[in-house]
Amino acid sequence: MTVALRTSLVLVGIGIASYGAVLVLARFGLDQIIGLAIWLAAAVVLHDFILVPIVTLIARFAFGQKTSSLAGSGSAESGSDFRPNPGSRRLAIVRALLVSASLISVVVVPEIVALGRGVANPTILPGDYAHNLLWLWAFVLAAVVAVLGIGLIAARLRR
Amino acid sequence: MSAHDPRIPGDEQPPVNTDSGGGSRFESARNAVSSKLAPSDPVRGPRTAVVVGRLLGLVFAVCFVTGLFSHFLQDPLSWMRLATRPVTIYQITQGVHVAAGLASVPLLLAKLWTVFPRLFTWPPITSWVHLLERALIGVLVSASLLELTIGVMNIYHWYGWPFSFRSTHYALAWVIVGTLLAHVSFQLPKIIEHWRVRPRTVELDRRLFLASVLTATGAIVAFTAGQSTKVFAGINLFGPRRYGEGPQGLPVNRTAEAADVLTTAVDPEWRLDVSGPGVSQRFTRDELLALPQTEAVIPIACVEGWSTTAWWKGVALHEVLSRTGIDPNSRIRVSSLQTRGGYATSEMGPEFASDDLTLIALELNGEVLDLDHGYPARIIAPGRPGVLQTKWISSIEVIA
Repeated sequence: MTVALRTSLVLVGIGIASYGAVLVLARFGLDQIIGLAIWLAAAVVLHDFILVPIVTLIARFAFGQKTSSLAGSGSAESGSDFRPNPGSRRLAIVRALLVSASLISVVVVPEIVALGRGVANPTILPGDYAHNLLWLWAFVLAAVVAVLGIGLIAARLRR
Repeated sequence: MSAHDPRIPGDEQPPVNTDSGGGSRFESARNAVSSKLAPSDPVRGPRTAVVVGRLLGLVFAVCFVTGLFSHFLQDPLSWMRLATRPVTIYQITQGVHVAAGLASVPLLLAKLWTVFPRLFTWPPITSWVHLLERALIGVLVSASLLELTIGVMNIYHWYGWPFSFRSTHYALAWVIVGTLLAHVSFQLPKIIEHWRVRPRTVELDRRLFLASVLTATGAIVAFTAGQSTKVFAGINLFGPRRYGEGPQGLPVNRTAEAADVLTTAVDPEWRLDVSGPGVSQRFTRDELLALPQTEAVIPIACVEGWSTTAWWKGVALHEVLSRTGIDPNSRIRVSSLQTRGGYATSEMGPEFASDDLTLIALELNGEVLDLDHGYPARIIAPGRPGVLQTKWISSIEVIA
């Protein structure tokens, strides 16, 4: 891959993106354009400066600095001689379970809110999503308890 | 070929935590932040970014292609002739489109998580090219986040934004494709370098991160796909619609009441006006019923991704056109009794107008067409989105 080829691809990409921009600028009224610009900015601000910091703080609070990475203070590339101890491995599994449930919730919570705002007819959003989401979390938390419980039992047996 | 090309600013490593010496408080604070974000966390390395990024790119590509198809079904260019078979084609493409869009949510969030420290690279701008790259990434991130947000809100019928959904969703798709192409080009050496797994970089943390993201993605798709197909209907925990649920076994978007047709649709004086160049005819409902009837098994497939298959009975559109003296290979416009709503009229190309399975439907699933499903008559054509299956039709005219 030469720099020239990559440069051309960047320019093509800019051209394609500009086509999208023109579709908006040519057809939308000024108030819609401003509204769209605000929503585009808000999306980044909400994600980068609210969502990610909050999730980072929750992760630090729940799992602490030392378990935020099994590799500890070493670099990712030197992980080959590092063996995670069973306790930190179990905590990492617990964290993965909670991440999974949280990602699913990101899609379902807005659905619950939308249902709460009211729908035009009963075939729209007919499910009991809050109920189903709670069951999903119950299932995941049961798995978390099982993983930690196995850990406690294993630790006791080792003594 | 060197893996790191210093002429392309995206290739430098993120800053390692170096002692700031006796520098200002700002300097030490900045170093503290970047040390916390520096990739001693393997989840935030380039390998994870490549693994998640290429999966997200693939899913975005699926969204784009299926989305283009949906767009051109609704806004065909004059020379386009679209596929009328299989009858399930749009059910499949739009079901996939919405499933892929939902799958993009955890993947995009994961991708942004892995590269988040790069937001704070120092110095923030090293050259004009670097500025261009970062600006394009900013556009890509913002467009991607908004595209998914309005897409998901749209399928929940949560219309909270101050701009046209369809035009914006279409325009942002092009913006995303363009800025993504540029982003991949900027980062290509690094992508290639980390494309294949290197044994020493396999880490439990990274594997668990990927496992959790992929599990969430799979779960979201599995628990919503039941809105589009019977196969997943049993585990449809979170789908915004349910397959086969509604009056006469079919979900409803716009009810007769919402369309303001409660009196006009049941009016015994209702006639279907069919007109073409120099010819026109009016049909009563009984006259339509007296014509040769055709049956068709065609899904209602909504732009929102949900669909349900239904059994229809009515007069073939080409039959009505011929009897009026109109060539069925015409472009036609169908108008509804609807006074409110953007889809009060729809257009149909000759490939659909002349198709054997395009019906003026009078019966649905063995019963007289329900008021909410378009009584006295609706259009049903194979392979078209639900918004174009016009309900409560009042007139058909040739436009080309």
